[in-house]
Amino acid sequence: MGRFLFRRAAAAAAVLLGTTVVTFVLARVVPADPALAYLGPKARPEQIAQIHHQLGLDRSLPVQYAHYLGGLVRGDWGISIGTKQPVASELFGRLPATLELLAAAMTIALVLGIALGVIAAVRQQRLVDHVIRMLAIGGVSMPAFWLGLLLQVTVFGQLGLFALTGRNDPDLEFTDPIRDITGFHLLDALLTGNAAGFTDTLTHLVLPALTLAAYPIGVIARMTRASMIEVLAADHIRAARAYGLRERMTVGRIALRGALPPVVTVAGLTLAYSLTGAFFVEVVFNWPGLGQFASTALLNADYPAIMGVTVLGAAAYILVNLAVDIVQARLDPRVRLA
Amino acid sequence: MTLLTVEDLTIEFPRPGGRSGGTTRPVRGVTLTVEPGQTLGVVGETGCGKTLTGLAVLGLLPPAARARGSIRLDGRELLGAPPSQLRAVRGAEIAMVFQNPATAFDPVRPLRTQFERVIRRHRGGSREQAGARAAKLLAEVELHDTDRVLGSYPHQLSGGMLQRAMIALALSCEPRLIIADESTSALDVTVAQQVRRLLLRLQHAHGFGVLFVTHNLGEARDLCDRVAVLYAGEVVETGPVEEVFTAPAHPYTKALLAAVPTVDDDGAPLASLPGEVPADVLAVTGCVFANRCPQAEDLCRSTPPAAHTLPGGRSALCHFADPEVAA
Repeated sequence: MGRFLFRRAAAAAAVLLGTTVVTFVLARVVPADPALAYLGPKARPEQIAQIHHQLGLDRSLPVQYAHYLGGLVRGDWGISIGTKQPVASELFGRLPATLELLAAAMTIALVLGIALGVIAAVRQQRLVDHVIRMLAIGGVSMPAFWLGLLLQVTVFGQLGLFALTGRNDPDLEFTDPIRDITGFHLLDALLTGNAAGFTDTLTHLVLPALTLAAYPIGVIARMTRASMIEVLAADHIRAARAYGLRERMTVGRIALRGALPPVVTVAGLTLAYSLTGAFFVEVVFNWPGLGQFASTALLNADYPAIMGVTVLGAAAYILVNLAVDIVQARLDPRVRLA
Repeated sequence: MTLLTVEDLTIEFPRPGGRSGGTTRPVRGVTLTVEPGQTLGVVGETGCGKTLTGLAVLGLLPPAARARGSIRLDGRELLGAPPSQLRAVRGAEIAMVFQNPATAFDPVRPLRTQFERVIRRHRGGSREQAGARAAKLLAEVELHDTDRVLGSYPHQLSGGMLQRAMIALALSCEPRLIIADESTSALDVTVAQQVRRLLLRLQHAHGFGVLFVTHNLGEARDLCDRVAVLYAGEVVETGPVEEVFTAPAHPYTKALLAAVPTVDDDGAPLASLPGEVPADVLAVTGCVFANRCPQAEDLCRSTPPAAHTLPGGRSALCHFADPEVAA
C-alpha cells in the first residue's frame, strides 16, 4: 500500500506540473494583450511597453515560465488585473464557499444516487426502476442554470421554502455572526454552537446544492444500477445466498461493496466536472465563491487570475483522482497490484 | 430415513412467444433420493437439467422459474417453503460446493470474513469464535497455514486451495447434505483427484449425504453409491453405480459409457451419438431419446415410456428396459 501511494502521488505531481506548462502556454498564446486590459483602449505604445516590462512579458518564454512557477510555489500567484489584488488571496478567500457548496452537493449526490441505483437494480425492469431511470436521465440532461431558476421559482417562490440567493442572510452578520475557523460556514456554526448561523447557512445551501447535485445524482444512480446488476448476477452472490446469508447482507453489504469501485470512479469524475458546474450555480444563486471571480476574470482577459483558477481547478481535479485511486485500492485488493 | 427426496420435480420457465403454451420445461418429472452418508451422482450432458435440479433443492432457482413436485429434507417439504425458512436451511443443513471456487468467494474480502459471515449467520457467536472454527475447518481440509489462508483474498490463492476452502466453508455448520455442482471441473486432473479423496474422507468422518452433479462418468464411478442419468430433463436411468455402469439398461446410458475413452482402446475412434437433443422437448410425442436411439421402434416415437422398475433397486425410462436386458 505504501509503494502504491507513493507511485500515485508521484504521478499526480507530474501531471500537476504538466498542467502549469499548458496553462502558461495557453495564456501566452491567446491574442488578448493583458496590457491593453490593464490600461484601456487609449493606451500609448510606450505605456504598453512599460507594462509589458513590469509584468515580465518582454522576456523569453522559458524565463517567464520559470518565474511563474517559482511564484506559484512561493504562493505568489500574481496580481489580478481586474481587482488589483493578489490572485492567491482572492482565490483562497473564495475557495471555502465553493468547496462547501460542492461538498454539500456531492454528499446529496452520493447518498441519493447510490440509494436510487441500488433500488433500481434490485427492482430491475419494474415500475420503480423505470421511474428512477427517467429521473436520472432528467438530472443528467437538465442544465444547471435552468434547474436553479426552476427551483428558485417553485420551491422558494411558490412554497416559500429555503432561501433565494447568497450564502447567509445579510442580517446574520449583526445578530449571530459566524466565526471563521475552517471557512465552511456549516461546520464553523456547528463548532461554535451557533444554532441560528447553522440554520441560516443550511437554508441558503439547500437549493444551490440540490441544483449542483442533479447531474452527479443521475450519473451515480445510473452507474450504481449497472454495476449492481452485474455484481448481483455474479457467482459469489449466488454463493452468499446458497449459504443462507440474509438479503440485507447479500445485497446491502456484499453486492454493494463489490459494485462500488466503478461508482467511485464516476463520482470522482463528476465531482471534478461539478467544479465548473458550480460556477454557473454560483452565478444563479449569487454564491460568493470562485465562480463569479472566474467568469469576471475570463471576460476581462485577466490572465493571472485565469491561470490561477485553471491551476487551482487542475489541482482539485488531480487531488480528487488521487483520492479516487486510494479509495479504489481500499475497496478492491486487486487494484493494489496494478 | 431418506435424507433427501426429490419427487416428480418439474421446472418450468415462461418463454414469451414460444410454442407449447409459451413455456419451456428443462426439468420434467425428476425423482431422486439421497440416503444419509451416501452419494448420489447426477450425470448427464450440458443442458440436461443437472444444475437446475441442484439449485431447486436449495430453493435458488431464478425468479422466473416455477417448480412443481416435492423436495423433502428428512420428510420436511422445502418446495414452496417460505424464503426465511429456506435461508435457515441453506448453509446450515444443505451446503453447496460450487464449480468455480475462484469466483464463488467474494473477491474483495479476505476468506476470514466470509467464514465469519456464514458461521455467525447460522451459529451466532463472536468473530473470534467463528475465526477459531474457520481455522479448525481449514486444518481439516489440509490447508495447514490457516492464518495466512484466512487472511488471503481469493485472488491470492490457487484453485485447489480455494476449492478446499470452499469445502471447509460448506462443512462449517455441519450440514447433512452437500450439493457439489461440477466441483472438480475447474481444477486440473491431479488437484481434482485430491479434492475427490478429500470429499470421500470427510464424508466418512462426518456422515453427510452428497448430491454430486457431474458430467464426468469416471468421477461419478469413483465417488458415488448410486447414480441418476439425466437426459433432456428426465431421469432416464437410476441405480447403484457399479450395476448401472457395468450393465446399463437404457440406450442413452450405453451410448454415454461407450463415449468414455479407456486406456486400452487401441486408438480406435470413440463412439459418438448421432443427432442432438430435440430443440423443443415438449413437442416430442413419444420418448425424448427416440430420435437418437439405435433401438427405437414405432412405439418409441408414439408413446412416452414409463419408468420401469428393475431388480436391484434400479429403474429405466425405456419401453424395452426389461429385467433380462439389465441382467
